[in-house]
Amino acid sequence: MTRNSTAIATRSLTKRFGSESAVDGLDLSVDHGTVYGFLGPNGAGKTTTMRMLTSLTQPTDGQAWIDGNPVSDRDAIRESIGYLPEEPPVFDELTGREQLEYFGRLRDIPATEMETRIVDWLDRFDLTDDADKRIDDYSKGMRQKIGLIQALLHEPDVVFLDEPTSGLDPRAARTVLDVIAELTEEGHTVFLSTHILSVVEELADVVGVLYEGDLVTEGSPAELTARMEAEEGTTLEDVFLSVTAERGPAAPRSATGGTGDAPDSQDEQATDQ
Amino acid sequence: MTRAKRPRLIARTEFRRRWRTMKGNPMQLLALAFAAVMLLPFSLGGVFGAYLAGGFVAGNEAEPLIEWTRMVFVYGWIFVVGFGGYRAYAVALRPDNLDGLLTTVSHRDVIAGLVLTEFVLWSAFFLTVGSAATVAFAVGAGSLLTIPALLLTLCLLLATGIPAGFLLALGVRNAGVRSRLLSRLRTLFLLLFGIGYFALIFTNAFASVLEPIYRVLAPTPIDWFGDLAAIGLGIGASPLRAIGAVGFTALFAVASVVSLFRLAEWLWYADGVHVTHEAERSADQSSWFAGLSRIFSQPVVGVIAVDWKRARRSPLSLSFALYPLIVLAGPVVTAVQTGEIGTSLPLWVLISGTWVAGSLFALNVVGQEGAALPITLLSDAPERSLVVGHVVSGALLIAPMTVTTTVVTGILSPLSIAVVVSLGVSALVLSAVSGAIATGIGVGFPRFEAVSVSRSTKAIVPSVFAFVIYSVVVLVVALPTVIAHSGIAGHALASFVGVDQFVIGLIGMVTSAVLAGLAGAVSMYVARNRVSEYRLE
Repeated sequence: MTRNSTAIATRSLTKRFGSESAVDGLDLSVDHGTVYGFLGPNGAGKTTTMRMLTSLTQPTDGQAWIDGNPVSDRDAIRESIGYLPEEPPVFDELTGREQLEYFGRLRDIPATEMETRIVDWLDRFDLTDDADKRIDDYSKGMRQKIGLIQALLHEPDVVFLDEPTSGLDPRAARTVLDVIAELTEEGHTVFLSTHILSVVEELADVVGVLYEGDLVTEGSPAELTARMEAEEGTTLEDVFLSVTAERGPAAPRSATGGTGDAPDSQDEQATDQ
Repeated sequence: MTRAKRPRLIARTEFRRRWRTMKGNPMQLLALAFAAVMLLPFSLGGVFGAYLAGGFVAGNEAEPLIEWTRMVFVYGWIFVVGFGGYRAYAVALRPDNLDGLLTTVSHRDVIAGLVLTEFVLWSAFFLTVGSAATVAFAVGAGSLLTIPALLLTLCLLLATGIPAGFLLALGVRNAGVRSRLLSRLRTLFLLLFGIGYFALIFTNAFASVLEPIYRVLAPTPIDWFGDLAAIGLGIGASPLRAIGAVGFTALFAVASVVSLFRLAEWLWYADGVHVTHEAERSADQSSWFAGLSRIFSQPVVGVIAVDWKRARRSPLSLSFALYPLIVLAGPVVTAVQTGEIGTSLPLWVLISGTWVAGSLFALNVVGQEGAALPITLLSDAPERSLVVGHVVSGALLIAPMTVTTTVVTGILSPLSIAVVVSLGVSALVLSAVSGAIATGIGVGFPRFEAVSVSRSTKAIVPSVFAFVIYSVVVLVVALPTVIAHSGIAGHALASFVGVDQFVIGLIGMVTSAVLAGLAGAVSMYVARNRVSEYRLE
């Protein structure tokens, strides 16, 4: 497979459910080896976007590509991606090791290679002692770790992670963050959706904020905080609250220079980054 | 990995998961053992019957036998399609972890794996019992050539019947996810289907449904399977039709693979219609609840309101309470068939109504709080609101229906009006008090974990122990009034004592009422104590 310069690209990506628009004309471009932090309040359309990019949901309009392959080409997309949904996709009746072996085999990873990878990942996530217990005996965090290993086991080019640190204790969450950082160092691309803004602030090269299906702002964490009126100690949280509030009932501050720009001009700024 | 290996791996993992689920569930293991015990004599009988049939075929004229053979295999095919389709709809087509699978392998691998799972499951039974029956038949008929012919026919029957069942189920599911009307009325359709199914069983009217299907299929290649099975028996089987059956299976397999792939893709990647569940906000501010507020405290009214809302919005989660209505099926069918209501029907209505009134909300007062239990326990006097509230909500909902139905069926039966009146009073007292009886039993044997009440609905239902004990207590409490009001026993007692049956009915009613009052008071006392002292472990 030829490697496209852009890991993820969308053009006017739109998803409507009946008359309701979940994602509205989304334009994204994510380079290889970067972490894209995808932010937005509940119901903003983040999961729908992820489902379109992972080929699970068909766009109503517009186009999207992963590694240069259109998302309509599901067979090609599956080769390139790893996906951790918000609810870890695990079978309660299997042990952690069996779960990973099952998906490793479905991915056609050579047996010895798969065994090595599984042992390494289990060790890394502190799961070696529990690997042969059934998943229905696992805690939420352990399930999350198995789901994450499953998404990474075949070393995909592009990894979609929906709330990967959800339910993890601080030590495990730190391991996940370290893994994400290493993935990008190795050239993998991570599309990261989370509500934990400190995670995005630490890891993301580019941050996009989705609000009611619109990408309301986009840029590096530093750029976004710089757009706020120069205040000492402005954080990504301030930016998030500001841009989402502008579209909502109250508009306390603006990330786009405090001018209370109209949505269109915001989007223009976002695409200028 | 070759394309065939992934479906095999998916099927193998499905088996492993299903076996482990069954191993961890004593009730399922018990059901499996029961089914095996029940099937064993049928299977042995079937094998012996096959031997006798073989002998019969060997010594008979040819002409009608080939028709019978064809008919047997067409009906066999209908059976496989029907039950295979039901299993596909209810179990196979909504695999767990579908997103994980679809981002790992293609929908083609997934559906092939699921069909393979069902095929192996069916084969395990069909080909073991079928092989034994085949050999027995061949020995009886004295024709060894029949063995491969019959086994091949069985394989072809499964190879076409199971995919056909999947195609039907996929068609129904696809229609369901795309039609707003079907989505909205899904529970109603399933209920009507269930009622229709049981009505067919109780009225022995299966033939009237199957016969038109048979008439449609008889002129099709499905009818040719009989010729393949009978080849070598010398009963007039057509070799051309036998070869045609093999060819048809090959064509059907190709066509069904293409259709299965397409329909599975349509189903699993469908957006689906989105049915919103908007609820009126004013429900618990209605005059009805205002009236209740004058009688009961606000927390009790709150529990009643929530019980009724949950019942209205998720009736499937209360389907367990309908099980006892099965005992009504026989008397109702008899009444419909004869056009007359006997003296027993009002009694069955009374018992069923009483049972439902208590079990609906009061048989698991602690467990059914679910995740809200910690908050409920921290509320003001939870023992009063929970116990009283759940008892009243069931009684107010079911007692009027029970009394009305008991009295109406009683009036239409040969029972005298006086007896009907005392029966009606019994129905009122028992269905009003049965909730109180249930509360203590429910807190003694609570269930906290949700169980699957349908493929897509999980609910916290009372425990099996609570069900059994409650059923026994309700029967014991209702027994005096049932005996006193029954046509035979009540009349015999009245003759023996030398009084009118109304007096016997009255005595039975009072005895049951006293028993119910005592059992209810003790049970509620226990329940209130347990709830007030309840600590989360």
